[in-house]
Amino acid sequence: MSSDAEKTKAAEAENQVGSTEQSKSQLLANDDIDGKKKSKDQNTTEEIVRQDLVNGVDINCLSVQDLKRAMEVFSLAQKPARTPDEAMQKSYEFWNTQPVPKMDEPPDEEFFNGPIEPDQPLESVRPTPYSLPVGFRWDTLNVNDSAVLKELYTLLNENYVEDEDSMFRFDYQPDFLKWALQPPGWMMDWHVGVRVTKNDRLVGFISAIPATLSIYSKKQKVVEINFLCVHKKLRSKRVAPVLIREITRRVHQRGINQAVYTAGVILPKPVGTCRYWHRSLNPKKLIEVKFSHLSRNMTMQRTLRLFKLPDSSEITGFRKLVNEDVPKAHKLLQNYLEKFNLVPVFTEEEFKHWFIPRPGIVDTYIVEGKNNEITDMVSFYTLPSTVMHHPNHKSVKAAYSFYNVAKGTKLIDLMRSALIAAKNDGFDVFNALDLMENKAFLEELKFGMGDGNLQYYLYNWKCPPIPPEKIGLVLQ
Amino acid sequence: MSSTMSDESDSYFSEACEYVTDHADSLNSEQLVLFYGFYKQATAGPCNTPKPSLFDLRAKKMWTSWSNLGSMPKAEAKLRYVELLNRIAGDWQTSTLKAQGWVCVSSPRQEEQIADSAKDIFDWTREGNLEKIRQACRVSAANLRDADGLTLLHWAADRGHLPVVRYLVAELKADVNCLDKYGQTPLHYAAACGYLDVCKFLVDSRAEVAAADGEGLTPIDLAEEASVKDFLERL
Repeated sequence: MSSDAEKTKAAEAENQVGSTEQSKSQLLANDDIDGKKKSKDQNTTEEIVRQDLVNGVDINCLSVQDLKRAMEVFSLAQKPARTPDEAMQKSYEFWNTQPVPKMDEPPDEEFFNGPIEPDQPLESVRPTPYSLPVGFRWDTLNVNDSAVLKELYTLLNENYVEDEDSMFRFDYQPDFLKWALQPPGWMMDWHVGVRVTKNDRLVGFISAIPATLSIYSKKQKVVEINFLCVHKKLRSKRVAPVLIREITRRVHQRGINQAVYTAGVILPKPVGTCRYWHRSLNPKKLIEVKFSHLSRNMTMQRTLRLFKLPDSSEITGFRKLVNEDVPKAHKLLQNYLEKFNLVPVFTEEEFKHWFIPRPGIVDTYIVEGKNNEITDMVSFYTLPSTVMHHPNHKSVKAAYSFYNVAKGTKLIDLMRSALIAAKNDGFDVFNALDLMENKAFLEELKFGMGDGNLQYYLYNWKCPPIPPEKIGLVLQ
Repeated sequence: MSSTMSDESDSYFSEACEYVTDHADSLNSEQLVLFYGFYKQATAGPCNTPKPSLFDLRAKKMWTSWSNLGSMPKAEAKLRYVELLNRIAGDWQTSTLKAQGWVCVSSPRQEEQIADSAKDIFDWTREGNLEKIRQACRVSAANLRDADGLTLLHWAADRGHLPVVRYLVAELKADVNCLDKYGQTPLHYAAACGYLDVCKFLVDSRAEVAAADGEGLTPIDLAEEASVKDFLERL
């Protein structure tokens, strides 16, 4: 089609969209002249509106809600899948090329727990980075450089995640990112950035950190993949698959062939599915920012009373974890985790990294029993969310349940103490997944079910699906 | 080269679709019907569904919009969709695009929302919608009670909606010391929920500071927030 013809058509349509009563009546008057002469494929937007007027249908009788709903259904195919059915229908062009189980793969007849592909021999790993679209370049990020860390923080803050209604977005703090990206054994070349060549702007990121998992009791060296983020203006450039390929290449270079990652969306193919639950600590604020909602006949007064907590923990010996506790607490956790089918295997050094309290990042409390024995531990990490468009509140401070072991105390009492500690530290909400033994306390401690699932994935590994209560792994 | 072109127009199209979906409330139904037609043409091709019943106006409207595009090629329909959006909202690409990250912030599941048409004056009071309250209000509304004996003033105090509280007291002459089923006054609610401004207004309107509820608790006993407690204690 010539551009002139295009312009004419566009102009016609423009008249229609902004049509006034006058132009509508002109169209009506012209109807009998050419109305029936046009063949179907000559119809224009003009015609659509005109026919509606001829048919005497009041176009305003259409419910906007109805249309919106209809369009939502149709545009689902354009978004990442959120339910298994949606995921089945999508064609996973990228994931089809990857060693991951297929969405429609039938369950194995016999128990299988192992790699999908054999390990890549080091000499066969591609020596050069994958190519990026023209105008972009790779850059390994040194997060010890505070300017670089700030760039990463900004990229993630503005692009990592927004919920459906864009009311909240994760606000990973710079020090939190350092904690999450630099556990023992971290590699700088696994902090992969993408920059715009012209102006050096950071527009993409993906990371891997080393870890050991125990999957159905089989120990496996893996990486944890996290913080995959592409600037929103670049989403159409298909940069994410290149980032995934590139981090995979760099991980292969170090002789590691398996990965674990979590995501809100469904990709081929989750090994397990967990659900977030939320416990209000500051219900009034959460309601004000519309994070949570009062049901129709619920008063604020009753709600505040419902979520009220004691001023301090009622457990004797409940205190923060300190360096000297590490050997005992480490053993306590590793023994406990043996009962689950997907768990991390921490070295003592790793345990120390992940659990020694760091203000604004991670908190761990233990219960010290009679003979200086450590009988329980409870931990949570800090992840604030920015509140969009609110006059008074800028941020919601959320605690995320990490790893908990209750051997001397009842789990529910231990968790209540964690809620009290979090409340007293100014947290607004305490979040927990329904994994490990969490289901035992969620409802009783007044957690409410969330609207988001968290899918667990293993790369280049096949094993039977793992129900939430058998998952013992929490990533940041 | 041509495949890059079509990739690019595809991504424009899907971004446009998202924008339209997200902003459907601000578009009129004429515009939405046009978008619908182009959308179906672009994704499903020429209209292949039977004409809906004459009596189902909505369905017919949408069907007509689609079927009128005849055999327009999918690529052209995508272009027309994006063009239409360019004309309606020229800045749609620079306005906040929804991020498509792998991660989403979970929040507590929300109960089914009540439609505006099903809302009663208690709902409007809970929402603090003074306009709707004025419209729906009769003078006697101040005496209405729900199943728990709460009046509109109790609810307005519970939510901290000072303008509504003021309206109910000043215009509708609501009784500031009326009791609900639990023997609580509106001041009990405002104090327990920590709304200093509402407490001040109620006290100025002769609310009883020492009123004891069914459990013998006064507003001061229920006050958690220091500012409210201080204010009430100093009276």
